[in-house]
Amino acid sequence: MIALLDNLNYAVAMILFCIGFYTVIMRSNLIKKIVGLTIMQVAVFFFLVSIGYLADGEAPTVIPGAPPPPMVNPLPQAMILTAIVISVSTTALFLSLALKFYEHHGTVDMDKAKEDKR
Amino acid sequence: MKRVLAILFVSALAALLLYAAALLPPMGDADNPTNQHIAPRYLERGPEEAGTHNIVAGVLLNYRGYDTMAEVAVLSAALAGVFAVLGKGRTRIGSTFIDGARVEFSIVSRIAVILLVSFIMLLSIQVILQGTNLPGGGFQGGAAIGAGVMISTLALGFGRTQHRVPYSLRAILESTGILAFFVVGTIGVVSGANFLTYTLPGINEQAQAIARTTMLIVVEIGIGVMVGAVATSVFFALLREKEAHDVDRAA
Amino acid sequence: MELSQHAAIYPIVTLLFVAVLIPVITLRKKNWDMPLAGLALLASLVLSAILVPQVRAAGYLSYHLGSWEPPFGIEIRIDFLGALMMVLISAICLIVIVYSRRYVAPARSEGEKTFFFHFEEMEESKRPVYYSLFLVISASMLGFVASGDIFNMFVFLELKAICSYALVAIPGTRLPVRAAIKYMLMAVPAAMLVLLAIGLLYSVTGTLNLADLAERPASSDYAQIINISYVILIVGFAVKAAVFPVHIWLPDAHSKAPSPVSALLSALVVKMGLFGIIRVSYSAYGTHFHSDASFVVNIVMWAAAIAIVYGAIMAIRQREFKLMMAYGTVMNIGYIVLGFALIDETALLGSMYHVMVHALAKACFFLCAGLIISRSGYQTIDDLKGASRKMPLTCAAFALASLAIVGIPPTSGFISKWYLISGCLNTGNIFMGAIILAGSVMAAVYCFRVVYYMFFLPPSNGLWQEVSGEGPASMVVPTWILAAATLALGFVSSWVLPPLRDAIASLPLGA
Repeated sequence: MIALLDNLNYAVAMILFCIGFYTVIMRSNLIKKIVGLTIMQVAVFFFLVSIGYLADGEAPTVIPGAPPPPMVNPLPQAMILTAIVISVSTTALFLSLALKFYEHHGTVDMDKAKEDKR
Repeated sequence: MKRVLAILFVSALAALLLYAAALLPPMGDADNPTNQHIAPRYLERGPEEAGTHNIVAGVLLNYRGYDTMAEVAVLSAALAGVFAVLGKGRTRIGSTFIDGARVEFSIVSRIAVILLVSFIMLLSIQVILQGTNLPGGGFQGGAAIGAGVMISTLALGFGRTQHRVPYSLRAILESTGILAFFVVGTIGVVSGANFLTYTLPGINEQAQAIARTTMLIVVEIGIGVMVGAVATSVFFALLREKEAHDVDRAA
Repeated sequence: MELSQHAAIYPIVTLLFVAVLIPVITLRKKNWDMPLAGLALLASLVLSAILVPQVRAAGYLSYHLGSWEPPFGIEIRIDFLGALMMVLISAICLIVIVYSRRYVAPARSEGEKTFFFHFEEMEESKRPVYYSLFLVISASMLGFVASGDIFNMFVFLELKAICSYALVAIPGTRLPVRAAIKYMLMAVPAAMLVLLAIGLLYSVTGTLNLADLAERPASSDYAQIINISYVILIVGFAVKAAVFPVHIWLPDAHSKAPSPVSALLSALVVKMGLFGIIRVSYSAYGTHFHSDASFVVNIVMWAAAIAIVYGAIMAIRQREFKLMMAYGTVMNIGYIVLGFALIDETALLGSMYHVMVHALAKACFFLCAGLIISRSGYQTIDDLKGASRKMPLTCAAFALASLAIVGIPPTSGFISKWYLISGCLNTGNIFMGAIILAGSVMAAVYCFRVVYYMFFLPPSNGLWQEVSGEGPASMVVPTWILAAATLALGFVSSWVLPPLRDAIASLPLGA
């Protein structure tokens, strides 16, 4: 438990991940599912950026001339920049699929659409 | 029943993940493996090796530029995917929301929006160009361009905005990201280094540093223009481009 | 740096480059999309083929992007298996794109049927998009198998995934869109699991390079983290690879997509998840654990055994032939995973060889299905009675490919199953050997039933009368090239197998 309090950021990220996952599997509304997926993605980004944290570290931008202060790890930040773009792309594609789904069924609810046998 | 199973499953997952979180090295400790192995080199030698004062940009464009190239390709693929799914034809539902919402904005708000959008565009150019030295970069600036176009669409209407950035122009702009990487990478190969090495053939060391910064900025601009165009195109596609265009022309 | 070394990167970037050029060029020259795409794939095939002898001579090829020495930059690391996969991917993509040309083309004359999805003409605006997506997905698979960096693998995995969702949904009709949504709902969380596992792994090792991960033993305090991240990573890749309990997206996605896309998905795209499992298990985690893994490996082995039986039974029960083929993929994934989970060199050899056999044969299956559907519109197995009277070449290609899927001696399928079974006997898993044999018998049931219907039964009540005959040569010839390749792979096995065996011998097989 003490270890969890030390790593509070990690714990919050993991719980957020599970909340997102629960939303994805339990909600039948496609838009809510997309929201759930986005929560999962944000949770992972939060986790990754927390990994790179250094106590009292500054943003990794060097000001020429000044002595460099301790800086946080830039690699996870670069990783999540890449991952954010991927998640945005996935969300855009999923939204367009949801739009198409709505045009076919007149609803974005997957359970209601199942009854639609046309 | 399904709910109970789901709650059990998610709780099990949460227990596993929290267990992992408790075992992880303490957050923010300087002795962590993450702060020992690769990162110190980026922080110490990044500015002179990679040619950027913003070390995140250095990692993104130089040390791990290949990832960024793939990421740019992800954006192109997502745009192609949106086109592939939605197409341009009219579908079963007669009208989308944009057809119904034809509320005219007052002249005051329209002029305010035009002013606002011009400042957003200026800001985005600034963000793209300063990306190598200060927080910012192609992706952020491109997203700001996209936001500007969206605000302008909401206030000025679809037809008037789309007229400024027609499809044929966007198709060219959307290819700039990969194009910049391909050209810069191939220049590296021609000068005898590996792909994506930011270097020019046959110049001395001092000129090399300038060339490297220039090429990094070229890539940043390519990414920025491309992200802006892709954001615009995805937004337009989700509004069902062709229909709205026809509606505006008829009106 | 020799010039030929750049053959490691140019297959990938050339495809990406041409993929973004196609929408621009088709603004002016409408018909240039297919020739450009074909040329790009041909170039990447040639470049990948150049790699094979290089890799064979040196053991593996390491290419440092941006001239940064690993682990600071991204490394491309191609071993013999990777080089073979690159050739296979470029070759199958090239064949399928040649097949696609007429498939997505508009009707040539008034009244002629198009070949696209159930005779609906493909919207004109979607055609360049189709070729772009096709090239990007080929590039992403090449990038994935070539990558030597775990985060880079994730990026290419997602690039591949986004293209495959879009390609499944490209007809825009009801069922493909629903199949794509189902696919995304499983694959996107899986991708997030993979990213989470990469984060866990990075936080205790501080590196992302696969070779570096293998060389840097994390301190023993973090052994549990390593194990948890391994389990999460395997689950994430398993969803992408449709291993048994998480396969449920596959039958829909693979059967509702347009046929060339189904061929690509079944032959290559699901294999990427398997390749990822093999890659991380032997490169990154290879030396990290020895005894702890046996628990995971046992579960995976049983899941694979169930997948074989379940896939075969479901394939036999299907009425639509594309669904039958999709369940056949579930079953064959079971074979490949089983060979890998046995942790035995012979079995691993069999499973890697089966990747190639199944890629060629299943692609041929789906191309045949595409020909039949686009000529006749028939979709159920009963409709196939007497098909050989009108489409003898297509039916013969199907029969040849099914020989390989079942594993009849002269074909390549026999060799892969032979190694799989001897691997089972080596490790004393007689029961798993029996399952492989039983699976082959069941595969014979579902494949040969279709062949029997095609060749030996008369068409039922007036079917096949309006069908005018074989499809165009640009569709039949690619199908036949694949069918012949499944045979030829059996004859060149003496050339492929020894280097593959060497490549496997160099992997750390510890458990």
